[in-house]
Amino acid sequence: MIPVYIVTGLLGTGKSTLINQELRERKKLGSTEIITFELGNIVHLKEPLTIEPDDIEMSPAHVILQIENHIVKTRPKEIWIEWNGMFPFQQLESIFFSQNLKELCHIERVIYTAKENTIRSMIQALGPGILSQIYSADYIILYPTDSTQIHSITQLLHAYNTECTILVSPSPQDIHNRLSRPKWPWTLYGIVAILTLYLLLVTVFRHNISYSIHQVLAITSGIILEGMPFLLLGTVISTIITLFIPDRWLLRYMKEDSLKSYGIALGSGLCLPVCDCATIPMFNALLQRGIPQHLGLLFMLASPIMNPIALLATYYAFPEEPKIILARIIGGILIALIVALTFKWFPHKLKETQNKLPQPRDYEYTLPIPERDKKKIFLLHVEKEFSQLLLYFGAAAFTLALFQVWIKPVFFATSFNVATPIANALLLILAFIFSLCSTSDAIIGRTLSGLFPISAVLGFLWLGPMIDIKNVYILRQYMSLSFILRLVITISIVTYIMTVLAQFLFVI
Amino acid sequence: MLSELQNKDILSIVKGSLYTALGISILYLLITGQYKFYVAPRYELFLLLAGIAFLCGGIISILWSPTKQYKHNWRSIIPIIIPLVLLVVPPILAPTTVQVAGNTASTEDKNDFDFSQDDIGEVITINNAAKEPGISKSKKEIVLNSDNYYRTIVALGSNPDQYVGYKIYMTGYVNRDDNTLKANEFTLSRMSMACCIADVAPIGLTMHKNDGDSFSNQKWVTVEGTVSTRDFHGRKQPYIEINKTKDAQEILGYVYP
Repeated sequence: MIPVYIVTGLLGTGKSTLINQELRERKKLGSTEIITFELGNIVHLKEPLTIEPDDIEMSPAHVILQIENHIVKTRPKEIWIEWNGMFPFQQLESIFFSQNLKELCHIERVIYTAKENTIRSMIQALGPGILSQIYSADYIILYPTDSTQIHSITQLLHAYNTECTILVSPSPQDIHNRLSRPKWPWTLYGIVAILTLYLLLVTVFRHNISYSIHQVLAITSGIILEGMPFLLLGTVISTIITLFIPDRWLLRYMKEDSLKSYGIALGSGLCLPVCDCATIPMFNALLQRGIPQHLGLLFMLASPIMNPIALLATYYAFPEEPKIILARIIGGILIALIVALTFKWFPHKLKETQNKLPQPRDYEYTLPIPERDKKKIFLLHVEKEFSQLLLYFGAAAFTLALFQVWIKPVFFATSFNVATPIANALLLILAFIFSLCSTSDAIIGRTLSGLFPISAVLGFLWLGPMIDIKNVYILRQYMSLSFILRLVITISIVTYIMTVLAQFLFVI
Repeated sequence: MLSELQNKDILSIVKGSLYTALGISILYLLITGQYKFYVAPRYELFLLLAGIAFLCGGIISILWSPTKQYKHNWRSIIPIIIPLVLLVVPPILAPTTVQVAGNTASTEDKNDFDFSQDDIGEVITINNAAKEPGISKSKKEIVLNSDNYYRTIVALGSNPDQYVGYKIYMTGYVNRDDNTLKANEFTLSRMSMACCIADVAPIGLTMHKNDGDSFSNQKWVTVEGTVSTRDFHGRKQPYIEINKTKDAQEILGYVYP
């Protein structure tokens, strides 16, 4: 198998110069072949095989045949490719992974060359073609003219390709050294190492480690297992909103600022058996489709309380006290409404979502799939969003498990003889930290009702479904920190005022 | 088929297989009932749907996987591997499974309230037939099993006066976490799960027997007792006078509301 080195990048970013420098550095000129897909100005050290760029799209079979014949004729030890920066990397793959060529050679490294002052505008102008190359690169080489931009460009490139090494004006020697070293898939090794460690922990050393470690792992898996169905449901529905719901439908029902819109935002919770993990991706999908943020928020905050399972659970936990269910619904709607209205009157600048540019996290290498193949796009979209959310959810579950095992016992060991206003605040904090699912927090609330005044328990039942640690983790996927902070603070204040009101109402 | 897969992208195939495996392991937990160690049974339907969705989605994404690619973002499999590994090779889920070695634990209720073989020596045969679970007003009898345990205790706790004098039959373990109890008192408890493993806690009834201090902690016993009440910080609480006891097999698993 002949190693193939790919150098790609837009015209004038120094591809040919780089190849010439490296060939000089590697001192194997006699046994090296160059294949170029570009008609550049710089003369190569060695006469290359030139492929007409038009042929890449028009007659790929001819291109493959040309390369195959050339390889068979020259029998090189190493091949350097200068790929045309305008063509998607997928096309290069379809050539070199073709039946004829994959037996002869394999891609060894991919180098992307860029100019720091043009790359940003080029990404915007050319989109997927250029991104596919950035995504596939092992090394991105920047030749800067203005060093102040380097940091932000590096960040941008890393957003599209987390695993590449970005080299700023490297010496030919440096590149040569990197190419000569074997390539280690560190991420894969890391995953295998951590898995091995875990397996050893729960098998060989199962009875040697402290039970509390088992407890943390068990609680983490319990929360993940409980949350997975709802996260999946949420991403499926949010993907349907993103891909399938026609604009005119949304316009008619959700975009205008009418009573009808408010009613739909509040009432849709009643027909959706989903909890807070599921509403957040749906909230984001609604925002992306141009729904005003206060309507989206109203939906996100009210649905977990209004959902039929949560209502049933509340009834089940407080069967002899229907006023608690009533207070939960009415209070919940009021809080959601007030919080949503503050966002209507003082809208939050949504930097991330208002930006119409393609977002790095939305980039999908396997696209472009034909537009009409909606089934595939749907599956890809759900899978991607679900796995991203699941990672955050897993992190939240682990944090909660740590809290459950090591902090909660200490917390509960202290006694709770505090004044009602403090108890109210205390339970709001508990609701935030406990991060219970809105479909089951009522039962915990029931247990707490023996220890705390009823207004505090109501606060617990109101705040939990709207915002908690778990929700913050998931929201962080979509929204800026300042938005989340404002949301947390507004909800806490409004809920606290409501608990104080409830305290007086329930005394009478 | 196999040659077709060779031309497909390895990362997508791996991802698809992981989702398939995740689906299978969720369905396995459901079929064996082991999911009840993690979450309350009312999540069964949602888990079933999720399991089927993962299974089908995994198979479909293997079939639809794109052609071979150079770059593989292996990080993207981490979110799927975490739940898969946690479910397939679980940590110790309940503390009692450590203490009980071998096969002495059972996962099913025996509903065996026949005290005739009682090795404590109070050989009084009560009717041999398995008792009807639940609260029977006509027989003045309360029989607890895994299904009605939680709600019966809640019902008993919210209105203890109504059940004074009832005979109660239940199985649980001796729990002395409550340090306000006297030496010959204990709580006959079982572990309850409201929603998932994150909120398990013991729930039970306070028992009294003159030689109650002879019961060792964590020991599983079946009890026949009589319901009475006691005053606990101004609130009436059910309080069980033990008539007879016998050793019981540990019942694995939780009680649910």
